[in-house]
Amino acid sequence: MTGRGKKEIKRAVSDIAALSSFRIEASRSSSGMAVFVSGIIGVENFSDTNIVLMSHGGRVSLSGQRLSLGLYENNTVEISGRVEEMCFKYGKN
Amino acid sequence: MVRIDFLVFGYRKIAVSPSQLSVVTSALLRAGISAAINSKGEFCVRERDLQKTKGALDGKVEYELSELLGLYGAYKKINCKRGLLCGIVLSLVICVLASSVVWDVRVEGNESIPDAAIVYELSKCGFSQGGFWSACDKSDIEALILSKYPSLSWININRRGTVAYVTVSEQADDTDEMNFAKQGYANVVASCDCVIEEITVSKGTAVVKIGDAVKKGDVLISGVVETENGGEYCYAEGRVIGRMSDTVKASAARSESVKTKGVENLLSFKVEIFNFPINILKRYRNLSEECDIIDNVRVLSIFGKCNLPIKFISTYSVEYEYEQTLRSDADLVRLASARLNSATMKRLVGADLIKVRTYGDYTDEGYEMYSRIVFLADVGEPLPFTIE
Repeated sequence: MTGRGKKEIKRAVSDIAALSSFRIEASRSSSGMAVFVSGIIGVENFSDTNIVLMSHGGRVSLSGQRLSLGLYENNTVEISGRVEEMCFKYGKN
Repeated sequence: MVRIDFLVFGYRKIAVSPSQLSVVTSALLRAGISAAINSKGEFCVRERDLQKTKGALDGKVEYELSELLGLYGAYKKINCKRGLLCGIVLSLVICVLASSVVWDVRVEGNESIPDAAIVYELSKCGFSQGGFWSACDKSDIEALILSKYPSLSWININRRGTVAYVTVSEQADDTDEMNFAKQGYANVVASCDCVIEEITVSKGTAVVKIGDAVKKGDVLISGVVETENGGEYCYAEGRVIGRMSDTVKASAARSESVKTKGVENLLSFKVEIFNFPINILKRYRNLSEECDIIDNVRVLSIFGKCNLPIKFISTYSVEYEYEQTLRSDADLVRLASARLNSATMKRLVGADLIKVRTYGDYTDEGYEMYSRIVFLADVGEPLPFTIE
């Protein structure tokens, strides 16, 4: 008797790493700095002087002046403005 | 500042309470919605993401929605859309017609022949200011101009936008060669060990004859010339052909690591209109050191003949992988033979081959081949000297 069984989906280590592909890229811009952070799963705090982003492995806190946020489809976030400090905290979210 | 793709494709402004911004941004991030958010509680989403945004926010936060904004919003508000479309089509036609006409002809590189003479000859051949680019064959015109002006050695017509740049190169005068005659004194010496096959003296005195075996550095043509008054020095010139032999080697390894091309990943896509870029898509991913970044540029054209000032630029990353391959005996011989041919051709640049004998043998690592070649080449090189 033939039938369709359930397919077991096994995730390889590389797939798991690709899910949380944390990356930061920063460059100068007209408003100060443009910082792109990939692998973000949520935003804990957002104001014009402080932004806290959450990823699978911890938190990224950016502080400065006149900060604004841009969201992109592939879990990438752009913070633009006068970024003064960037802090990293570790721990599962 | 609103993003270019929001402006072009239409967007809505949504206002929420500033205290709920973190909830809103997390909800939008989870739903995969692009948005531009400021700290005052206002953010913009694309028109096509509106339903998804409403689904993500309904029941969680209270929000106010604006009307449709941007270029698409303005287009929607226009009553007479046919008039707008006709205007766009008409302006494109005017752009195409205007860019298909030669607006100016500029000549560069000429010294003795005046610009006006070259422009006049071009107009007689059917290429002039006000004419169409496609009305004449540039290579035919270049050949006609070269035949009318024997003093020109090269002419090329380049198109940059709507201006024709005609670059010419005039032939060097014979008197110029005499003015640039070599200064000082020199002997012609052998550049390598060889047997003299032919010697032709333009200036100086021959020291060797045909059949003599010479070593590297031996004087072949002396810069001392005997005259009635005793002797004088000159810059020796001449052509000396020598016969020499050499061995060229090549090998192929049985096991080799071969670079293979992996998957192409799209990194960004943008449109350039009159060299002004509009970013449509940008992706971020971790790239390895071995990958190539390729820009694919496509220019929009009408039936492949007339290029418009619109370019589509897509950037790809291509990762490479290394694979160990084991070659068969036949492949080893084929590869070693190809490498030996290439090495032999490189060695024989500027030389005439007389005889070649090739040998090959299998080794522990793979296959080795070598060729013993006998060839003729110019062996004279000037060696200046000074007199105290």
